[in-house]
Amino acid sequence: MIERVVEVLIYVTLIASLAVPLIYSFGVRRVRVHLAIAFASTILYTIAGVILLSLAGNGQVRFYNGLVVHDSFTSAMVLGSGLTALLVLISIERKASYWSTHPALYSLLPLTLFGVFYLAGAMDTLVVLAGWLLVSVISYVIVALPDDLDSAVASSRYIMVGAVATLLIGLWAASNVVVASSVGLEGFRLSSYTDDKISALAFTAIIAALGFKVGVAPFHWWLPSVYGRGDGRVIAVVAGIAKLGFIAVIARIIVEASRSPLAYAGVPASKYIAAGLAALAVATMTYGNIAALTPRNVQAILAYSSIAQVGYILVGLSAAAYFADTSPEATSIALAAVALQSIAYALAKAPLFAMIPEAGRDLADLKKLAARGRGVTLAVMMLILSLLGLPPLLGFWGKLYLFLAAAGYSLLLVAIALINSGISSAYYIRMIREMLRTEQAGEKAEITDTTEASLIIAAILITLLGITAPLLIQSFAPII
Amino acid sequence: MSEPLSYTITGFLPWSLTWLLPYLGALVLSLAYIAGFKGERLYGLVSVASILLSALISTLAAYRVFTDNAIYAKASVAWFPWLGVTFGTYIDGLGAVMALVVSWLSFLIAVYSLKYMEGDWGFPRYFIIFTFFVASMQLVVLADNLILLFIGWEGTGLASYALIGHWYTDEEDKWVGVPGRRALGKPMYFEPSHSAVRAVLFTRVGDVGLVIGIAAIYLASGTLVIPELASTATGWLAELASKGILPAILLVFTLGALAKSAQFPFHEWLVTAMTGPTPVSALIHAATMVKAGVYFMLRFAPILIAGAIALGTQAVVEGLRDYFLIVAGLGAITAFALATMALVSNELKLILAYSTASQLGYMFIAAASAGLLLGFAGMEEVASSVMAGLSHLVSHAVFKAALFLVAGWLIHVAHSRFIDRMGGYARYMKLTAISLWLAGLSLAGIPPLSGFFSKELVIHYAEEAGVSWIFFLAVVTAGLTAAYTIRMILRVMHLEPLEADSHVKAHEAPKLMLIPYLVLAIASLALGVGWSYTSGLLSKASELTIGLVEKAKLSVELTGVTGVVIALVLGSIGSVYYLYSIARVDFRDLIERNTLARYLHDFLFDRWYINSIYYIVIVGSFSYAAYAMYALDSIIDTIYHAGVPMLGALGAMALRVLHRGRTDYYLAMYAYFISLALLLLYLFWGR
Repeated sequence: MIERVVEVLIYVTLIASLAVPLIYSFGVRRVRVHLAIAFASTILYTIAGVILLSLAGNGQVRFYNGLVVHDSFTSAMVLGSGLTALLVLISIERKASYWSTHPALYSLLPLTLFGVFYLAGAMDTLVVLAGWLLVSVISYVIVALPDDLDSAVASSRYIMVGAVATLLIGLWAASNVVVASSVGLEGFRLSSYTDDKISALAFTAIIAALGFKVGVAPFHWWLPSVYGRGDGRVIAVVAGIAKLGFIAVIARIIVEASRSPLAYAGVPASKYIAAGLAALAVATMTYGNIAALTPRNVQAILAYSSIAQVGYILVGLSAAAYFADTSPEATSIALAAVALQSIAYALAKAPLFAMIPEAGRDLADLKKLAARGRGVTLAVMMLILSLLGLPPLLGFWGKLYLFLAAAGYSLLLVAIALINSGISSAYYIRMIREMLRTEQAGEKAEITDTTEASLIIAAILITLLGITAPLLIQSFAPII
Repeated sequence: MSEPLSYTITGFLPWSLTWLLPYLGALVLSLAYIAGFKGERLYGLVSVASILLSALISTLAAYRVFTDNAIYAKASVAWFPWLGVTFGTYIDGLGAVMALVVSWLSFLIAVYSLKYMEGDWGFPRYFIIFTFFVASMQLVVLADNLILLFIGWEGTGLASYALIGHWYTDEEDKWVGVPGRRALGKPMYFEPSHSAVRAVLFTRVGDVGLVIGIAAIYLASGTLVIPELASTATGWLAELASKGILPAILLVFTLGALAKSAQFPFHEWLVTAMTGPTPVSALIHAATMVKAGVYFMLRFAPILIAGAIALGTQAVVEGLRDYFLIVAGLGAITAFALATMALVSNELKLILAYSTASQLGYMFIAAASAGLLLGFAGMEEVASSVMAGLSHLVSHAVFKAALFLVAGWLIHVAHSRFIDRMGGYARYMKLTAISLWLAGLSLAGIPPLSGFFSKELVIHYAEEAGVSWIFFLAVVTAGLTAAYTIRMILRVMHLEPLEADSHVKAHEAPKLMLIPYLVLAIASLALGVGWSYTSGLLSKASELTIGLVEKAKLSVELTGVTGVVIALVLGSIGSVYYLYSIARVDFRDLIERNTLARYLHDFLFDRWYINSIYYIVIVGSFSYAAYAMYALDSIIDTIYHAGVPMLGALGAMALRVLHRGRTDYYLAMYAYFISLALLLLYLFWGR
């Protein structure tokens, strides 16, 4: 019964997204109304996330006869996307109404959430495909919403590379249907394939496609261009909200693939997959962290650091893959860690990206933030420190549990992750140092109160969730 | 093994006030200092009063001990339950005598300091630390366990450091040594702040040994309480001997004592400690703190010996003999070497400092001789030898304190620490001259002064111990002692100054300064004249001391050796008198003209070059190590501050160069890497 409530709340996001352009065309031009609809639906979606998470604590929550299934991991991602969307909305507030594309953002944001719900819970090839298409297309459009040239350029790049990725996911879906003869969960499993060459092709295709979305090296080429040059407010949607859905689905596909009772030359498939993911994790972390070391453009640093953060998440995913066929408990712990880290990432990154258009892209502009006030300075500092992984902030627990989960698989991988975390301190601390420089009394950053509020709320959330993280992770039900 | 010593257990507080009261005094003064009180009167009064109270309680305690029984004032609350350590004050014969000596000398010297330090800019600080020192010293001699003893021990070290560096602004008149003088290229003059650090470093080496020794003995015995260590000695001695580490552990345990009492090779710190105010030299660096090492030996030698006798194992006896031989040997070397240095020194306090270390060597000889008697002498002999050490400790404390206090006045009069600028003072200050003669003759070992008896006893037991070279050095040192003492007295009191200073107006010391040293000088005479009473008291103390529990025989008999020693002493005195007063030999001229004499003089004057060798070998090697570390550090710093950032910057640039901002290029890269992944999978994937 209560699942129906969740379903209804999810439909509200769809209705809201359709209602905004509809009432606009009927002459309701007041942005407050559009904003209120977006806000209300996002709040309801977040409530749905809370309900879902509590339901999932007792076991899987099934929708549409099992086509969409949410467990503790995916429902945490749903809740995380809701919270992030609230932060983004607070930050953007009425500002999207200045764009000629108004009121698209207030419509597309709830629609993104709607897509994330299905994407994260997809148990069926076709649902994955549908969710992918919905969220991807919205992402491309959202990046293009602002009127400036940079946004247009970023969006067109995103679309072009995304088109190739869509071809790849199509290839994967086709392989599932034709070769593995299953559109359901069976299709995700490598053992369903009769031909190893095709299973390799299909698996490569899905990892390359979803890897492209979340920014896994070496499929990440588009990301610095889009994250680094697009308007920060729309990048916050792509980098924060949509990404959680993609991480959830890539995790599910990887875990299901690794569960295949298959062995290549005596070695279980899960170990191959874990090793491959570990290699991608190392490449991704290292690439992101090193590339982020020297730019003076804050948005570029945030873009590269997004790559690095996905690298840490891959560390957890490789551990989840490694234990998938032998220890469901260890896999559950690894996935819980992935959820914590992903949410910590989204909650910190989204408001930071959203702040850039007002605060300025240059490192020196950070100083102006400090001139604006202690509250906002402290909040930005805490968000950065959470990304760095400082206790007791949420980012610390995310990394801690990720690395603990991976320690059972490979200490070398954990060591490399720790070293990477150390390298990342160079640019995170550099940002904080720039912000706290006092040698020149600077002008104040001209950020709006709502942007400031979203930063402060994010910092409070990160702290509160950080303090309660060990309890939250205990409430996670095992992932079956 | 002799009977275990019985003791009366009492409440903690009354007898522990002996050391708690001065601590309380120091605390009150510290608070006053923090609160900003400036008046000298307050600091002087509280300090002197708390020390006097401590002295009175010590006297009562001694009375109780001598008329009744040893006292064990035990706290009812365990202090370190997991170590089985109680919190208590233990007063037996040895402790009672030590507490009497420490507290009454401290009181007299505190009174002297009131005048001596008058108007000094560090007056409050001086009295705070002085009082703290007295408390710590009392704690050392009365602690019932090794932890408490160690706390007191370190407290005295801290106070010593602070008072040696009291004049830390390092004006030249507060230095020790001849400004500009170098030996083997190393400076032989020391500022107060430098001397203070030296004292800490030298004693620290020993203290580390002491801590290791305490730990080792605890591991072997399971207790840190001194009376329990005595009653379980057989067990832990056997345990250590069975592992073959008995002499080594005991030596490490004794390192602290050797360093504290400035025995060779740790003696260097005491020499330069003379940068402190003279009353401090008198109290800490002559009468009390430097005696802590001797006390340590007197406390533990009987426990070791009694344990070995009870055990009767050959391995333990041999182990102990090895240990005692080394300690006695170091004592003998110190006694001799430092006495030779005193012969040529031209600084009044330095002469006394050399003399102190030399006399401390005697005390070590006596305590260790008791151990060397092990196996072929009875417990009475052993107790007598130990008590010979204690009697020399007591008589030395009295006469050396007097000598230092006189020196303080003379340095004040001469405005110089060098005896070359002093002379002929006897006619201006009769009472001071009498004090100096009485105390000096006691040091020289002339009957019937106390120094004669105690030194004779030490030499007697050195002979009994049967190690001929140690005995020989002890005898020769007696002659040297008489020589440098008389040289010093003649030059400052009776001969004309070598470098006259017409501005100096010599006169008698103010009463507050005069009375303390006069009292002490007379005491050293009285202790000697009444030796039968003194020795009776010490003999009784021996009976009441843990591990001994036997009357000591402390009467001096006239033997051949005594005759030889007396003849040697008188001969020395006669020679010095002849050379300086009759022949009026110009030694400065002699050194100028005669190369051999110059070499000999420089060798002794520059302290056998030991200081310079320390600086070259130890300080030098640390300097080189520091340079090496610095070089290594620079390389590491360069790697971190230049290499790593450069690599990072290059890496960051190289990686970002790959993002060229062209969509076709991104697509190509994407396709390329997907193909690469497929290729790799096709190579390795497959059943």
